[in-house]
Amino acid sequence: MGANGVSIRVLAGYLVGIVLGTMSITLLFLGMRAVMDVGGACAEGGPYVSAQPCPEGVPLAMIGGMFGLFGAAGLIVLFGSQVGKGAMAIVALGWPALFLSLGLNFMDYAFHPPDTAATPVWGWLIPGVLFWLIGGAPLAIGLLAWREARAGRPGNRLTRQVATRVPAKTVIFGGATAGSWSVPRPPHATSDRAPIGGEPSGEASDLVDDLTRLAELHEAGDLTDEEFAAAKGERLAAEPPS
Amino acid sequence: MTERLNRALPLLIVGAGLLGIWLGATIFTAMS
Repeated sequence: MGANGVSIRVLAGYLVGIVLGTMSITLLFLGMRAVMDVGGACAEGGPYVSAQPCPEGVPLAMIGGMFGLFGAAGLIVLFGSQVGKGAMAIVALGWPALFLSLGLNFMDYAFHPPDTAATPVWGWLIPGVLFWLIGGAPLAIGLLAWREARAGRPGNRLTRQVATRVPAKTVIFGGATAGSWSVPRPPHATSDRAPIGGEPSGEASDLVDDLTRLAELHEAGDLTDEEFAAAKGERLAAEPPS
Repeated sequence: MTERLNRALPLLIVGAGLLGIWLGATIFTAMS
């Protein structure tokens, strides 16, 4: 690989992180189903004989899955930061992936319980809805922020907060903008892939970015009204007329 | 090379994800 590129070691570490992450979520998903099959709770070890022993291998799978998740997040952040901001941001998808898939288990058992209970089983339905909210809300907000940022729109207050804090702006799955993974493009090079969603010209989005940042500083109270007005005027004046 | 890698990365990520799911399912089946 070239000097600008990513070494095989870094790429391998990053991909191992992804493998470990999805493996851990799968283990948790299947382990949870096995526990739900025996009624939803089980216990093992300790001085007592449990009325409901755990299905064989399940405790190890669940504990392994939990630790595996942390390990995967560590690997993805460690190596992903060297692959590129967008690559690292994938770790943010782990949260919705975990909660949406475990929520799916609850929903499945709420409507298709293993025994013939009256459906829906509220005891499964309520946690299912909760899990889907916990997983789905950040995903929805993140996707909205991502869309607004890519379209070069400042978005609303909520999506702006996400877009400025999560590096999703650099395009998680597009690879279209310069530097989105890792390779710095020479300034004269044009992308061979058209930006998805029709990104505005660099200057225009820079201007929007700068103004958005100023507005945030102003809102946060870091800039007084006068300072904000002066900085905004200066920034607008610096923009060449289009 | 890096350009090609850049283009292949999304595919590699999806492949790694699928491999992880398959590994998880296999390990779980072997353990239980």
